Amino acid sequence: MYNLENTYWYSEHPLSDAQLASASAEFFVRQISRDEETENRTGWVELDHIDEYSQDNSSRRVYLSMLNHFPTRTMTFVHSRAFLANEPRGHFYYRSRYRGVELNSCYQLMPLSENQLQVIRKEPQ
Amino acid sequence: MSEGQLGGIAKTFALSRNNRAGTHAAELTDADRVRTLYRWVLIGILMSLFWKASYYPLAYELYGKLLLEDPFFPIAFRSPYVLAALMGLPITLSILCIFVAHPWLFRIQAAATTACLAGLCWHQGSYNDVTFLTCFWASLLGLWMVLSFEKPWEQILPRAQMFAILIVSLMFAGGAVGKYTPAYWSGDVLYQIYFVDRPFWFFDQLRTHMDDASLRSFATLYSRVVILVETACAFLWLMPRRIAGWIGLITLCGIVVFSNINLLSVMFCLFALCGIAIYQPANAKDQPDA
Repeated sequence: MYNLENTYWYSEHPLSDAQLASASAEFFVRQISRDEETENRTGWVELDHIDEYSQDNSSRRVYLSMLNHFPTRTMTFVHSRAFLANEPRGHFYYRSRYRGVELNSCYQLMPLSENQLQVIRKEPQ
Repeated sequence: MSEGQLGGIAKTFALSRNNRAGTHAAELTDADRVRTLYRWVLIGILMSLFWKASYYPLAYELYGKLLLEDPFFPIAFRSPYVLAALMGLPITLSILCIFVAHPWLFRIQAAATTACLAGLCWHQGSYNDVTFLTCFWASLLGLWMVLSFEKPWEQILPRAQMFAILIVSLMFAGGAVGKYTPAYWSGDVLYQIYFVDRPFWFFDQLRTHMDDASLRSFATLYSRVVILVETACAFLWLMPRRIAGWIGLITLCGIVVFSNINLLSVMFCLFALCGIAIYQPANAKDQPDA
């Protein structure tokens, strides 16, 4: 009963369109070929070929996955909250495609206090 | 014992059985029958909500620990306390209604359940969860039923069956229309979501017995079958109700068995609606004019 082609990216740092596309290509190629060596099935993609991130290993990691539910539930729903408890800041990028229509959106999470995060809607870069 | 004596006993037994059935039918009012039908909906909704039992304490704990200040949601609909109330109230009232049959309790419960489920569809912590969406639609049917307790059973049953099948058809239509996009038709989406690494008996078996290319091809076939079956089931409302109910029930069970056991929380209330469509009273008095 699932709907639309929904994809999301999570990164601690902002990502450009090129970086989103690069992560996407890398992830889906690996997934489709089911690379047994890397076993990269958890959704984390290393963007080691992106120069501007090469100085900082932690910032090169992008979490990418397809979704079978409403996209922003990755921020709001229970298991995602558990993820956010460990990574209480970052950028969520969403892409929903339906036939010829594509909707892109971006949200930044900023800690307000120890147990509060502010959700800021941003224009995709 | 002679043949004549045996025939007499059999006749007496048959008469007494008919009398009992007649008395039973006379004792049951139209409101009783509608209430029984309503309890099916109620039990379906409760089973849906109970199937998510592990979700509630975890959600409440996590939402309390980490508040998301998102202006998209009104303040009340970000609160974990409101979430707990929206979840707790319909469950409590519904359980009460299984044991206590008072018309006003039914009305209060049905209105509160519908309102709470609508609230759960909107609350930040449960936003867009299909379980609450299907339960909401089932609760709408329930609300209509409790407001119709006074009407004749002969009117209520066929209408309830029609509404039940309309809701089931609508759920299938929503699923089908959303998939009319190239990534579903090619199988990409379901391949990524299910076939690559989803731990479930069906996909585990496929990964064990198929090579990568075959698995990818099978994902395309699987996705197309899902789209076509859901599209066909969107037209259940055009079929005779009992047949539509059976087809709906079998298809919903198939979705659970071949994709995801967690979907039972979405399905239980729809099973109840299919059950209503299938229901055919054995007693002639309970049988509405078609």
